Amino acid sequence: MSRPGFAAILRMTLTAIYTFIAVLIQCSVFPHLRIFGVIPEFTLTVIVCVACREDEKFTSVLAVCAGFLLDTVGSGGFTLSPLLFLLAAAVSIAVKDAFRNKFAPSLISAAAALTVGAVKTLVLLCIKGAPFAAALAGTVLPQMLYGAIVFFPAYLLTALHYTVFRKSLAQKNGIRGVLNER
Amino acid sequence: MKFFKSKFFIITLIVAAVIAATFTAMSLLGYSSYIKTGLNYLTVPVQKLSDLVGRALDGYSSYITEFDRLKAENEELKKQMDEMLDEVQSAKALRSENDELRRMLEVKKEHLDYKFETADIVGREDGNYMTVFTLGRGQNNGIDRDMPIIASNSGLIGRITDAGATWSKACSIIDTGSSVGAFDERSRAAGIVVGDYELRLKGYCRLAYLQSDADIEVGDRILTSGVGSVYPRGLIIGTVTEVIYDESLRTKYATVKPYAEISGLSSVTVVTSFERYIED
Repeated sequence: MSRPGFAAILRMTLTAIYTFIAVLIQCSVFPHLRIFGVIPEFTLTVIVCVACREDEKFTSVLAVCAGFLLDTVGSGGFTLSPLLFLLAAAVSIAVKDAFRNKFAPSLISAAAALTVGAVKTLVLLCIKGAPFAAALAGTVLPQMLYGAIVFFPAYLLTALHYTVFRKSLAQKNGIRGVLNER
Repeated sequence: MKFFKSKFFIITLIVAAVIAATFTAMSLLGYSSYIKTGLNYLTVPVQKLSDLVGRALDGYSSYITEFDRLKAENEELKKQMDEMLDEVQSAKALRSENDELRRMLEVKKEHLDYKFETADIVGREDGNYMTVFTLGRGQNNGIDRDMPIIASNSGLIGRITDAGATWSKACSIIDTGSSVGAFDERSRAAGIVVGDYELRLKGYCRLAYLQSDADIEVGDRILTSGVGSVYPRGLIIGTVTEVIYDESLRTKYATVKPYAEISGLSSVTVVTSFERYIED
């Protein structure tokens, strides 16, 4: 195995572990850090930030796995996160080419993903019999707000994670990747 | 947008949709899949670890969202605590008053000829041992000059030195200007209890003018003799703590510790009427 290939595999492995930790943090740590009684979509924001930097195919698989893991580890009865995470990652992949930096596409994708996530929560709450207005004001909007707050640490953590692999990313993405990284 | 049209994305999307539909349906139908169970076996140990981190951080978010509520709750609890402290304080005061009244009743039973008037001390001179103090009752309540005042344990405190309609002034037996006819309960040796400047600072007084051969011992109780008609006979002044013989003057005197706790008084009892002692 050539050195760039090994670096890419190592990067992807560590990204997968990083995402796995993000899932665990969302399931174990954030329930203790509820604000307005809600848990933020931390994993979703991480997936969005990863999608802006990582290989498209790997991100798609990672998004589906992370969504599935989240719904499995979490106690919810519905398993809609794989689909939602994949769509969020796809949005990020689509948006990232239009910008030279990573922050703007991450932010736009996170906003879109959080909105979709909020809609998912709203639909699930309404299915479970919660009044629409109460669900919107009491859970969905705080969840979006909290998600927006955790987006920034998620973005910084992801940026920190990829700092180590800047060279291997540049080799993979070619000139465009180098420009984006700069 | 090219990625949305790629085969890989479409396949992944289908797989994700199938996973979502299958597992949601299974969950709704009450079937827990083997994959889910297996995954939980894998994740739970790690989850426990991260849960420990979560527990360590538990409650910190409340600083952000529940600050106002906690502040209001804190205020409310402080208010409640103040109210309860007030209640405890008043209960203590009532108990103390009750004890005093109970002791006073005992004194009244012992001295049937006494008439009493209780009065709160509303003012006092500075210092650890007050010797002059102001009472909140006066002539309107039958209190007048030269009436003896006693504590709830029937120990002598002093006498009224001045009286107005609603107030009166008193000086204690440890005051330098005070003199009380006294005798030793055991030996009947007579003397005069006077205030002494140095002893006053300790809260003690002196039994002076004793005969040189007077039989006085440490621990003897000193009572009022009734001579002079200011104090009734038989009130407890205090206990002898030291006996000193003055070689040059050929007199004996004793240091007396007052029976009444003069420094911690909040109210006193004025003996407004009693049967005068007539010496044989």
